[in-house]
Formats: sequence, C-alpha cells, structure tokens
Amino acid sequence: MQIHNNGHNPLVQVQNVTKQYTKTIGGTRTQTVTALAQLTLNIQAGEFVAILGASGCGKTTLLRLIAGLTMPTEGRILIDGVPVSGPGPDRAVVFQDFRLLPWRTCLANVEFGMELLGISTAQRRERALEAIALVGLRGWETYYPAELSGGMQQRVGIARALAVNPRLLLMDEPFGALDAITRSQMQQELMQIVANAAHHKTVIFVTHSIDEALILADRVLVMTRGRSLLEDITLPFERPRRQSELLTDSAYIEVKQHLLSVLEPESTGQQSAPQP
Amino acid sequence: MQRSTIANRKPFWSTIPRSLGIRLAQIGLGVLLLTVWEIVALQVGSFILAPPTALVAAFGEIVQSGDLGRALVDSLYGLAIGYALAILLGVTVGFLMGWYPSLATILNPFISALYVVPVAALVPLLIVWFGIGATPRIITVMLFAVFEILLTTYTAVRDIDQRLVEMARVFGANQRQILTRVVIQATLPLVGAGLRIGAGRAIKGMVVAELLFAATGLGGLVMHYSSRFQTDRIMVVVIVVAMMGVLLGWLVQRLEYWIAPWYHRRPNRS
Ligand SMILES: Nc1ncnc2c1ncn2[C@@H]1O[C@H](COP(=O)(O)OP(=O)(O)O)[C@@H](O)[C@H]1O
Ligand SMILES: [Mg+2]
Repeated sequence: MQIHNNGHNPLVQVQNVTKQYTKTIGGTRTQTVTALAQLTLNIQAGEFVAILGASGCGKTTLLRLIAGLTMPTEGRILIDGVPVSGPGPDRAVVFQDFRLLPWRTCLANVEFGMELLGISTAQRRERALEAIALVGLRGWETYYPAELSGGMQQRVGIARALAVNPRLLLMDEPFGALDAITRSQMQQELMQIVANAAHHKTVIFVTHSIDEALILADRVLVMTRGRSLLEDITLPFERPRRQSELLTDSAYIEVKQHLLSVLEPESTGQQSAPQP
Repeated sequence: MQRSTIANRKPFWSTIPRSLGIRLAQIGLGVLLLTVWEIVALQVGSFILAPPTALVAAFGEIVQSGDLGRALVDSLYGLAIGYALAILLGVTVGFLMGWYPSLATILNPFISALYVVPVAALVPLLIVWFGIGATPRIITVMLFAVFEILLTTYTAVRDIDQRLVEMARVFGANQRQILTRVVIQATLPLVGAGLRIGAGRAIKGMVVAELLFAATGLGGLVMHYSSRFQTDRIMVVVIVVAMMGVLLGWLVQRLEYWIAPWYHRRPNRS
C-alpha cells in the first residue's frame, strides 16, 4: 500500500459536514434544504464501504462532496489528510445512470478520463483495453453505448473509472438501474474486479439495498435524513464472497435483521419481511 | 399465442424493404400529383395553368437559351454567401448565448424584436444602405436564415445534459475541455436540425431578395417571364427553386450524418 502520511490517517475523513441547498421558490422567496447535517465518518485505505440509506437521505450529496463536485456548507472533507477543493485523479465516480458519451465508442469512452489526464495515445489504448478486459467487454470496443445493454453500459462506466487508476472509487447506486439478474451478476463481477485491480481499491458504494451492501462491503454505514450516522457495522465475512454461502451464515442473518430493524421506520414504503 | 398469430398476419407491404417502400411511395405520390395537375391544366387552359408536359418543353427552352444557367449561378452566389454568413453568425452567437447565460439575458429581447420583424419590411432600408447589388441580397438571405440557426444552437447549448458535464468534471475536465469534448458533440444533432430549417429559409430569402431588389437570379427570371405572361416558364422556375430546397435539405442531412453518425445510427428506434 502506498500511504503517503504516517500510515494511520484514514484515506477519507468527513468531519462535521453539513450541506445545505438553497432553492429559490416563486422568484423571490428562498428555502433551505439540509441534505446532510453534521456528518462525521472515516474510511481507511483498502476498505469497501457501503453507504446504506433510504432515498433522499443525502447519499448522492455525500458522494458529490467527496468527489469535489460541490463544497460543504460547514465542516470539511480530507483525502489523505488534504482538504478536497475539487475533483481530482485520485477519485473516480461510477454513476447510476452510466453517463457515457453517446458519440464515443466503448473504447473511446473508457479512454475519456485518461485523455483529460494527458496520457499518451499508446498508453491510453493499452490501459483502456486492459480495463475493458477486466470488466468482461472484450470484443465490444467499437460499439456505441446505444448498441449496448444497460449492464454492458455500466461495465463501460466501471472500466472508464478504473482506467484512470484512482485510489478511491465512488459508486452511486451503480446497479440501481439494472434488472435483478444482471444486478446480481454485476455484484459478483465487481467483487472480482476490485480484488483483481492492479492496486487494492478503496470503494465507497452507495446503495439502498441491504442485500447489496451485505454482499459487497467490509463495512456498512447507515445514513438517515438530516441526522448523523445511524450505524457503522463492520461485516465479519471475507471478500470476495458468494451470496449462496452468505444466505446460510447465521452472522449474515443477524446483521440483516439488525439493519432491517434500523431502517424500518425510514423505509415505510419498502417491503422488509425477514427471510425464514 | 394469440398475440403472435396477430403479429404474423402482416400487411403485404411489410415484405418490401422499408427504404424501397418509402421511395415507391414518394414516386407514386409524385406521379399522382403530376397526373391530377395535367388533367386540371387541360381543363382550365395552359395560360392559367400550364400542364407538366408543356413545362418539359419550357424547361428545355430556358436551358438552351442559357437563361436558367445564368440565373442559377447568380442565385447560388447570393444563397451560398448569405447562408454561410447565417451559419457563422447564428452558430457563434447561439453558442456564446448558451454558454454565457448573462449574454443570453442581455441579447434575448433584441433577438425577439428582430425575429418578429418581417424581413421584407426592411427592404427599403437595405436598399438605402447597400444599394441594389449583391450585398442586400446576401443580407436578406442571411436575415431569413440566421434566427432559426441561432435559436436552435442557443437552445441546444443551454439545455445541454448537465449530467454529462458533471461526469466530465469528475474526470478532471476544465471549461475548455467541457466545451470541446462534451458540449460541441452533444449539440451537433440539434444544430444540424437548425441548419436544415435555416437552409429552407435561406432559399426563400434568396427568391424574395431577387424579386424585391433587382431582376437577377431565379427571382429575376420570374419577374421577366411574368412581364411577358409566360406562365409555363414561371412554373419551371418555381419548380427549380423547389428542387433547390430538396437538394439543399438533402445535402445538409448528409452533413448531419457525417458530423454525428452516432446520432443517426441508433438502433431499435422504430
Ligand atoms: N442540487 C440540489 N438542490 C436542491 N436540493 C437538493 C439538491 N441535491 C439534492 N437535494 C436535496 O437533498 C436531499 C438529499 O438528496 P440526495 O443526496 O440526492 O439523496 P439520496 O442520494 O440519498 O437519494 C434531498 O432532499 C434532495 O431533494
Ligand atoms: Mg442518490
């Protein structure tokens, strides 16, 4: 691991962060929406952290803050001890809605981030092909996004993020737009990809699915609207893991029941029947 | 099962390849129009409405005499320069307005005001300012076409998909890179549509200018023939103008395919 400071600092430190949006309503009146209130959390290098919470609780806001797309109203965010002042090549985002450039082929989309970093054409090509192979898209390099299925488009999104070789991978409900079967397949593959990536990745994975969090993460952070963290659970399972093995694990059932009870008052609209 | 039997009972024309079917329909419609025209013309007499068969002869005459060729060259000169200026001005100003919202706020009332002024009403002014040479014709063509191009470009840039812009920022794009690698490509399809609308308007502007300013070009031919009551030749010129519209529209469409092939190759859009 290349940790540049004393070796103990967390990679990501979110310190007392509040984020408010001001909305103008009816031209003159303004309304303040508090998306995050006094949030504090630390993430160690190499961790795979799932951020779990009902929609509207500020998960995307947190990721955008860490990505440097927007600044906190109060508090600060440190990466490797340095305050975030904007986007940087140490972080890459995988979006729920893919956000591929429709005029670029799969290959050219994967090269996009590296182009902006000024990496030479030859090296760019080589790394893009590597990333495409890693996400299982070999043979699809010349296809346009519109010619790919949702699952394949998201693989391109993941390859684009991996290709810039970030220390921190920020994933905002990356499989939320996919059907259940593709989704579960992509979860398995993501585990393999993260395990096989050239450098051990730190991943922040936003989801509103308890199962997804439990399958993928080392640690689950539960967020609630307008309050600080509800839960910070370190999962006792090794990575990579198989869902079929987890389902019979008593520790898994216990954690899941616990998370269901924590999220219950929040997720009124969600089905939360415990499994037999 | 019920569904599939219904789906299988396709109409007979579904066996014809789609592009061929469209061509056949176009030719059929054309032939139908010509037939109706011929019949009506024979009823009302060829002075009021010349039949298509007479037009073929008239077309031959004005090609032979060189009148049509000279008029076409004149017209195309004004059209090409005026349309090119409209593209240059419309795309540039539209882009700047989309990119700098405050500029749009400043310019919007002026553009709205100019947009509603009938260009023909400006003709006396244009004559005072520029005389009756090629310049006022070029400016008329430009004024006819520029607003559609400007407004579509402006709208396209203003309504750019912010999610793609945010993605580019995540990967480190600065403003210039967002412009050159995201905004320009993303707006090409809509700008292309603006150019196509503008092309039709430019041709109208060309004829209007020629009718109003000077007996030159295709509009000039129309004036010339109408002073001699040669209705068949007038019809020929009108058809030539219409064909220019078809041709220019087709050229711009080819251009659109060429600059944004990804947009026109999207599968499963039926
Ligand atoms: N740009 C914005 N302007 C105003 N309000 C916003 C904006 N982005 C998010 N919000 C509000 O902040 C809250 C949290 O949103 P978000 O971070 O998207 O939640 P999540 O990703 O967990 O669904 C929501 O109430 C949302 O309406
Ligand atoms: Mg969200």
